[in-house]
Amino acid sequence: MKLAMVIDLNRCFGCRACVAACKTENMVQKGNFWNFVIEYEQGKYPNVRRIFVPMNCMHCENPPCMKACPENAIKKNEYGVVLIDYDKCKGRKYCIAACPYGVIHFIDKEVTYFPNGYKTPYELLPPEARHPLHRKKPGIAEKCTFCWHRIEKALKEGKKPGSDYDSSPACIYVCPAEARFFGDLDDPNSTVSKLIATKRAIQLKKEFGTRPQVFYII
Amino acid sequence: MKKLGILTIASLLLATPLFGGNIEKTAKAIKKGSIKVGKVYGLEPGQRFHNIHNKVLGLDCSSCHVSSLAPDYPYQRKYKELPMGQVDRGICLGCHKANGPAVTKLYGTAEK
Repeated sequence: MKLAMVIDLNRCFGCRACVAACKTENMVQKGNFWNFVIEYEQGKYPNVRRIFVPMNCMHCENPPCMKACPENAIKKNEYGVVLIDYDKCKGRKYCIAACPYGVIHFIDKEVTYFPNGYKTPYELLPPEARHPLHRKKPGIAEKCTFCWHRIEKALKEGKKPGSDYDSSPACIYVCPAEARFFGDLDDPNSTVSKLIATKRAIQLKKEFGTRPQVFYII
Repeated sequence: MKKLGILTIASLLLATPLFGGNIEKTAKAIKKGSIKVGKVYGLEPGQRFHNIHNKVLGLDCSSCHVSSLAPDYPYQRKYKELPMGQVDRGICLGCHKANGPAVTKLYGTAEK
């Protein structure tokens, strides 16, 4: 099974529902983003168009972050998901320097959502009450996990990743434009496989030879 | 301690003209440890990363840091401003691609 994501840029209108869903699901601290939307204008007046490009970790088949890490803290699992081991990460930032998509963030210090250091109930959760991928701390790198905590649970329950809300990354089903799709690339009948086969799907920065597993329909 | 610091700086300064011309040889020498680049793995100036690229290979700041990235450049962290300017990863690709001269082959070959 090779997990992949497809984002239809023709449908995305930049509402950032995916960004908000990701933030709450993964308890991403203020200032950092596992999911982000880049926007720019294309064309000249009066024929202009605004382009929105949602970006998260590309879960590359050939991940440069993994090769760059001097601590061997980044691994790609059997489903193609690239994960950072927070216990091994020493915050060297080599992964950040190597990633051509800029999707890895560094936790410099703890920044709370409420002013004066007051914490939300989510932020107050002790590490032992969180999934290991949410046990973040200052001095380490963080990035999108394809919501591995959900996928892992779905696989244990015998569910197909991407088949419903609980077995998909949090950003998928919240999209009001239905611009995001998730599933198994090895299954020719999955939505992602069909979309890639039938639509004009591209990968970002192919010249880096990273073979990203996030595809964009343009 | 002071002596050690002076020796390291001197070796870095000497290494620039000696190895600056041949990236592949220099990269191998760094990997072997015959060129001292410091033991602290980190991106800050004075740490290994900048010692290799700036001091040994002789890349000056403007070789990597650009004042701004194009709006359509798909790079998420571009909203986080660096004091010296952002780095266009295309510069890294020149040496760190599969058939590039750097020992650390971070990137693969371009697909069609």
